[in-house]
Amino acid sequence: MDKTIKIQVRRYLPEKQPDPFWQEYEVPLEPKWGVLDALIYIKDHLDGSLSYRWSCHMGVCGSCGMMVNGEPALTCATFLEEYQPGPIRIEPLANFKVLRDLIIDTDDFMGKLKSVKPWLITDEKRDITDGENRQTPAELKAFKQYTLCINCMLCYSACPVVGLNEDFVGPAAIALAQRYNYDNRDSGNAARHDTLLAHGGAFDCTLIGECSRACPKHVDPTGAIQRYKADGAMEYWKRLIWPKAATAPKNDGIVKQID
Amino acid sequence: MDTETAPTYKRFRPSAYHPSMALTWWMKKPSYLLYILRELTAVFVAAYAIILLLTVRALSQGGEAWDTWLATLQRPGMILFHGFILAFAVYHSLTWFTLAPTALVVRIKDKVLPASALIAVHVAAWVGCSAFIAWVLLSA
Repeated sequence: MDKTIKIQVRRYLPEKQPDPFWQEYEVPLEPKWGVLDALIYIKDHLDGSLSYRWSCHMGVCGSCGMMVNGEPALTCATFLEEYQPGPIRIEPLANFKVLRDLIIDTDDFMGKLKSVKPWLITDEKRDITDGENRQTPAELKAFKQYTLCINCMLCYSACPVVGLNEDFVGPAAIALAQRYNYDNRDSGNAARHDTLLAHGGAFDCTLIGECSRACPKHVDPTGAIQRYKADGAMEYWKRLIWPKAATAPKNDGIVKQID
Repeated sequence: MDTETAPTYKRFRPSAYHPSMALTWWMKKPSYLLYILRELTAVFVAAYAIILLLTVRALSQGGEAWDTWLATLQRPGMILFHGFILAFAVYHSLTWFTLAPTALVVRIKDKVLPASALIAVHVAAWVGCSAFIAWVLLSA
């Protein structure tokens, strides 16, 4: 072992002690090793009790998000060399409940994601013989950016509003709602307005912009939320002044099943 | 919210801890501090609105009240306060215009107008309006 770097991990082992504590490890400073590689080294060689999530190791699955020196990051895409001489402090993602060591409780996020109905909602009856539901490149471009979200939750960790207001539906969920709102095959805007216009919806965002800075996929949730605010404000006044003219809620897409 | 995937399952799911945010969270990062400063500008802009209302009131109360109010405005403390208000108002306006492209997507045919162009148009309109108001006030 030539060069090494110190890794400090905030651990939480509720069956051993009620409060989280810091533990330090020393790992080889291999070139091209990510922070995730260091954690894997610790688990394999130094301390098998360390718990963390990971899967693809290539920035696609969104499982290995953690706080690295106080900033939310995908640990597979964050390299040890950038943090010389160390130490590197690794914590579970901020603004989430922690279940164990670096593992956060994702239930809250999953519930919020579901609440914006991020799936295709349409009344159009289509048969299998109709073939693909094609779009032009321009129609795809209108929302493609928002499809790139990998649900890594870094934006939730970066956003102070999420930390201060637990009802806030959050950046990724709104960006994903917009992914369907801007899809010309979808007509579920009205169903999504119910969540996004309500308490905890898009208007709880105070435009800090940290979500877009943290996003590893350049989804730009900040932009998605501000664009929704413009659409949502129009809808709010429509519903207030002339409720009949407002977009009528349609089915939420769940009931539509393959016969 | 809870998806309640398996609410009865408890054995290997012990109680979680939820770290709370410190009151000084906005001092942790420069970008958080700039955000808080941007929000704080509203206080100074509101203060100027109150000064403006007091000016209108002094105007309605006749010559003597007007002269007293003018003397108040010319005190060094008041001039310094106006300097603060101006600085915060300029910061407020600049941040407002630089954030405009996040909400506004302008499409011309197939191309999306770049953010820098949107900011430039906004700032140019702002400078133009300010220059016009200054011309009206100063030439009167």
